[in-house]
Amino acid sequence: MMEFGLGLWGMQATRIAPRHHVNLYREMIEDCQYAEELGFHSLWLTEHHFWYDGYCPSLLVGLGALAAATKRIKIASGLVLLPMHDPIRVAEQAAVVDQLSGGRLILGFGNGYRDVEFDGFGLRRRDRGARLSESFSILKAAWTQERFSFAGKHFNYKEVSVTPKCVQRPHPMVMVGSSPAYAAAVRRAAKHGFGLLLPPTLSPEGVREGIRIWREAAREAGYNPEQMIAEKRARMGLCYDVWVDESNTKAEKILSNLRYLYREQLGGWRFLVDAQNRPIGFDRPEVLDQTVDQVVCGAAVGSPTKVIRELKRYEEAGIDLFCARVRWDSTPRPDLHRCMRLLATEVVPAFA
Amino acid sequence: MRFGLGPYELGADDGKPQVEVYEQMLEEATQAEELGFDSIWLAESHFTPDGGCSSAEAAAAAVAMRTQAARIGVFSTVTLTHPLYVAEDVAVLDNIAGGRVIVAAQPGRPEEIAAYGIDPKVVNERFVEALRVMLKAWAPASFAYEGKFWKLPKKDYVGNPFAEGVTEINVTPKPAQLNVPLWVYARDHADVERAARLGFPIVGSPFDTAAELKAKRDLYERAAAAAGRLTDGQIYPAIREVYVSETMEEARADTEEHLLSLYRAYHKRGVLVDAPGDFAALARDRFIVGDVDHVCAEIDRYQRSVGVNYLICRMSFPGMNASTAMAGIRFFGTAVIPEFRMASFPREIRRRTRLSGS
Repeated sequence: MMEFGLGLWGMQATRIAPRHHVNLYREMIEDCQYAEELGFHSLWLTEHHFWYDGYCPSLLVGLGALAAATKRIKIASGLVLLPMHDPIRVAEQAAVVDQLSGGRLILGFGNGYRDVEFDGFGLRRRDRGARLSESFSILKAAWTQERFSFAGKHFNYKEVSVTPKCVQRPHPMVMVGSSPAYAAAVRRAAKHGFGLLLPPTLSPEGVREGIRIWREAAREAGYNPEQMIAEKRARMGLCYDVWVDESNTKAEKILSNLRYLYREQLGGWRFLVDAQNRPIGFDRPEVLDQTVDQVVCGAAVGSPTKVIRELKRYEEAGIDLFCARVRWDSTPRPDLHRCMRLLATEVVPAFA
Repeated sequence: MRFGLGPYELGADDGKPQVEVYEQMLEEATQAEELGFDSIWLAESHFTPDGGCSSAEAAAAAVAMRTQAARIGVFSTVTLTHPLYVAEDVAVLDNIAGGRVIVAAQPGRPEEIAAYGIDPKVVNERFVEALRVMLKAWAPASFAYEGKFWKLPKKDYVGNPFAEGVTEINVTPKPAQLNVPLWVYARDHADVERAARLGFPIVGSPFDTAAELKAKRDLYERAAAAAGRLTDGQIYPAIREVYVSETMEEARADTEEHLLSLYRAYHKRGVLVDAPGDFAALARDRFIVGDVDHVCAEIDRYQRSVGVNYLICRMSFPGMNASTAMAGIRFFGTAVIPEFRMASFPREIRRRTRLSGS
């Protein structure tokens, strides 16, 4: 059965719609409570650092608030940019949030890609893969061992006993943001027994390829991938841009909004590359506009019928947890709430 | 006098599921706000044998959801990791809490410092540097910083023309408050003098006797004056173990065992230097435990003779059952706090029992 979570709350005050951050955080809480009322599986927050719009840098503090404001819905990080953090600090915060929520935490981890974020923390972006690998080992030790030491290239801890432990044993479910384009990241997730959270830019074929690489690597690491998926110990997740309204025409009104936001972030952040592996940014406006159009065209935007049809292709490709990305800055909240309601009542039942 | 509740360490409690420890804290926080406590406090501690809370900011975010007006205080350890982590967590917390956060920075305990492989000799210097980075991060401007322990931004670009021009960073979002109150936990006289010179309020330790708090306060005043700082209206917070009941005997019976075992555990961990003797010796000039007359007289003494004007009260001790703790908090809120809201409270209307109207 496919489950539906909602994303991605980043509490941004963008140029198109500046807001007070206190209001953005209050709305995050209200939106999460509404998502819980509608029966969604999870709500996902998203992290970046040092961006002008105030993009949320501290997901586990945000999730601490959601833990106390809700009772049933799972609360998720999509994604904590783990190489930029101290893994013990993350392990500890995660355990506290798991305690506060009575075991409802899901942890998504990603690499991060913006140079300035690494610079700000005094880190080298090129170390991110190694830091992520060491961090994964440290997190597991912190959660599962009474006491441990770690001597790595990037982290050293002597005789630490991390407390509290998590409510979920051995630890909250981990999903790693990765893509078949970065097969090493997919394999790293599998090696640790962690699931996947694939990006919105993937086709169903890309999803199949990602899952295939994951299964293969998990098997090599001695896991039984089919059983892990069947028992939901590792999830095959997809973060996907979704917008539902009563008709296709009504829904398509979101497109200009989406185009603006993608242009702003792709342009400034340059995390997508062209066929020659060159980053796409504001320095090449035509390529940027084309790319934004492609990304926006990939979104599942339309009536419930249309959105069901598009998402079914991903279910068939092996996805069992959708993080439906419905939260777009500057979208009027009544529209967001209508989209959430239609998704819950018209779309989700088609996947039960 | 202002009153805070806490700081909560949230350790495991006699086999009680830890989720219940957190839930009980949230219930007490909610009740405390109703009773007029000015603040609720959470403490960060690491690697403790009782499984204490290692993220005060995450737990504080939960408190922010259950309260609307009370301030939320976090005892945050700032030397262990990059100070920007604390700065960002506090900024997000302050937005979640609508600008109600107070930070009490602590330099970290020896075992925490050791676990992170930090040279204990540089901790004080590291502490001051961390505070500087945090303050710069919260200020309404971008900044660069080059210190002994941290340097930012580091320039290591992978060919991004938009990043190459970056010589400063701006930590976002900013806290909701213009200035997040930043207090420091003062262990010894050197801490007090440094804080006085730099202009941070100090928080008195629960282990200090009233006499020691007085000495620290006097030292603070002298050091501040020597540095040319005004201390008019200065906040002098102190943490105390507090419990009020209808009789002296009942108050002691409700708390003795729990406080003794708590302090024995502190001693065993090396947090408390001297081994606790009997309860009377431990409590003398330190705990505020008793009936309403006694507790009010003690607080009055802290106010008049010691110079404490913000009492952060720990009233819920590990091992104590939840209803006893809650009864103490309620009684304190209804019988004690109101007496300290005015300069001179008429004794004739003092409340001495839990029953309303008597």
